[in-house]
Amino acid sequence: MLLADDVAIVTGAAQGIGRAIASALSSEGALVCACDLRFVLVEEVVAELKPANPGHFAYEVDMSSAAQVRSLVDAVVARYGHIDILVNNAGIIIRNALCDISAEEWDRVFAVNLKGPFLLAQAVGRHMVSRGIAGRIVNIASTSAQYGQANKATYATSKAALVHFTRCAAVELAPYGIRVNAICPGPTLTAQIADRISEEYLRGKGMLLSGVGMPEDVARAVLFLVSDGARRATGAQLNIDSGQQLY
Amino acid sequence: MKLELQGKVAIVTGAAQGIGHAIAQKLASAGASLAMCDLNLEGLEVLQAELPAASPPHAAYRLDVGDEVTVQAVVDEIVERFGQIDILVNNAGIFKRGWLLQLTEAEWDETMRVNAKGPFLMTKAVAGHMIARRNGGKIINIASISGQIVQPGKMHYSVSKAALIHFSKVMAVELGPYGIYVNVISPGPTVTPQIAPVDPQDYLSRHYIPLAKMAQPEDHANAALFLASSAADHITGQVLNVDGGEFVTRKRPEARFPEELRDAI
Repeated sequence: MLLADDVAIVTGAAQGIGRAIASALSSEGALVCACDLRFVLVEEVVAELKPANPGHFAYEVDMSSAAQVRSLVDAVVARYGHIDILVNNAGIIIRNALCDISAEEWDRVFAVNLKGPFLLAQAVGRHMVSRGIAGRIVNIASTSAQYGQANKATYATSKAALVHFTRCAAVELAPYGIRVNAICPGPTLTAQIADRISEEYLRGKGMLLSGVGMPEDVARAVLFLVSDGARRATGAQLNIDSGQQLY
Repeated sequence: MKLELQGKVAIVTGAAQGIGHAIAQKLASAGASLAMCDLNLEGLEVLQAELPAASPPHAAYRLDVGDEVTVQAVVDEIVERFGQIDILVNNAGIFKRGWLLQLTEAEWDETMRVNAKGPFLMTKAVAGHMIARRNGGKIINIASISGQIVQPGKMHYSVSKAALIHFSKVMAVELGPYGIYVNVISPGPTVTPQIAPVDPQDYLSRHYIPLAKMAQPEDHANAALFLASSAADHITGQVLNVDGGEFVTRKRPEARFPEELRDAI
């Protein structure tokens, strides 16, 4: 067990990549606080994982609310005593050409994809620093953060900002032994894009390796980054994208 | 190769001081007519009086770039008055220090609103006009080296500039087919009122800048003129660092979250 006794917060854990991350952390012994706006769904995820660890818990939380983020961290600390791992996975994607992007869309996408991770990393970071916990934070970004594509400006911009946030946080928290890294997945088979994804489609999107990106691929990368095997990695971007960034 | 903008209309935001002021002067001296925007209308009027005459004449607009309604209204007014927009310089920005462990939500929100959302709102309004007019155009975004490397102690500023840089690349891809160019100037430390508390000698002793000096606003104005001119007609999606070489070095100052702020966290 790589993560026995570790307490982990995973956001966007109700389905897809977040769900796979929660499952992977649980299988290595971590106690998982699975968070999502979709409470019924995330409760089901926790129910499936409970046989491995009855301590797992589901939280309903809106990441863009500073008050809810503070409550979440306070509740987790009150319940478990410490937080060792944070995975900022919650994210939304909206496809629009520039002229169709409303100010509200900009605000909403940035609130979930960037502000939420900032608020949570701040709250969890403060806890880790005050307790002397050499914690680990992983932010799930996207290959969209690494090159230009049309018709998803808010998503790509928020993810690129998340990558730089990761680097800045890594520098600021390094003196406390806290490591902060980013994963950039390529297209991954989840409910969010199931209506568009097929192997043919993916080949056209520059996936150099055959096969479809699965949530478990990202989850395994998260496991590596939060484990001792990655103790010399901080401020890094790890692409799990079948080579898409090279295409 | 001539760097001239006769007959061109340029919007410059944050034109009342510093880098924006220098860019406005440079574009005007190359023959452009300016629509100058800033929160500080009086500062714009001082600038306007210094500029060479143009046809159509320069105009000044009070503008909060982060406010959607105002942005659309001002851009519409500019189109009505000038008849065209050829160049947009998204320079308006705010600079505040702050650490991840100590930043308030309000500080984060305001910096992101002006520095990232503002250029988006301006680009959307101006590109809409450029696309309808079918004559292309040039958009130049003023970012910062702190959006590319890590300079501790200005977390939200750095992240907002990283957002602006990637937004520019995405827009270059999306708007290129319309003949709209989108490029970034990334300044290193510059002698302006906004960062006046920084002592150049002290800064240079702690950072490694190969050219051993800080930038002047005119350095960025020269880069803006180049990118706005026909000399840059095959350049888009680029980040031009005007930073004395700082971006390519690896010696950075040590910075640690200040102990005196610990009580705030």
